[in-house]
Amino acid sequence: MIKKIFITLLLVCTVSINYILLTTVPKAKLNKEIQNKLLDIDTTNALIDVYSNLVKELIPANAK
Amino acid sequence: MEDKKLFYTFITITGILNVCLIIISTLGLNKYIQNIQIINENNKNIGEVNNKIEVFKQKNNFQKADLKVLKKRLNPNTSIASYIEQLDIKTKERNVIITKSTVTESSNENINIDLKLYGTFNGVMNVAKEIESDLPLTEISNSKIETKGELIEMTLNIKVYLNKND
Repeated sequence: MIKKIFITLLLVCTVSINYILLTTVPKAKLNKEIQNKLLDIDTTNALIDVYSNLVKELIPANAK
Repeated sequence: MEDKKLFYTFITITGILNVCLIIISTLGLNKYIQNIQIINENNKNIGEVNNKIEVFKQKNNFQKADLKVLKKRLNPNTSIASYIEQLDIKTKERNVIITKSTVTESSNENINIDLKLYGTFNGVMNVAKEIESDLPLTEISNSKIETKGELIEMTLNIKVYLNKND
């Protein structure tokens, strides 16, 4: 009888501890700021490429 | 009879508790895996941002240098003249005098300049290096050094390419 009560109590404790752990550990979030920064850098790089290509195409024509 | 009833009750309670434990464990494991994946993704993004910033910095510096050269080459005759004028001011600070700066040949493709620098050995060498770094598409040929006491006179033949795409 005591054995059974002990096992039940042990199980109840394990379940409650696990439940508390599950609810208290926060869920990680994707850092949107970094993703936005990545987008910014990509856009700026692309703009620089476009600009430098334009300059390369326009300047020799002017120099002649 | 009483014992059997108690036994069944015990089995039911422990069974329910075990099922709860399995569900909670599965949810926890799932959360843990998701968290690790998100943290890895964040770290990867941070690394990528740092790399891209480095590339961006290099690109930005390169573009500046590129534009500087292109600006110099836009109107070759005036820009070369103004460059030599600037060089004259810079060289005086280093006790180097430009004794000769003649454009020997000028075309759409290149400009040849004869330059004579007079001053201390270190000063003249620094100025020559500076010219080479200021005008990247430049060939320095036929350089001669004549010693005049403690000072030297360096003759340089500079060929500046104008419309070469690098």
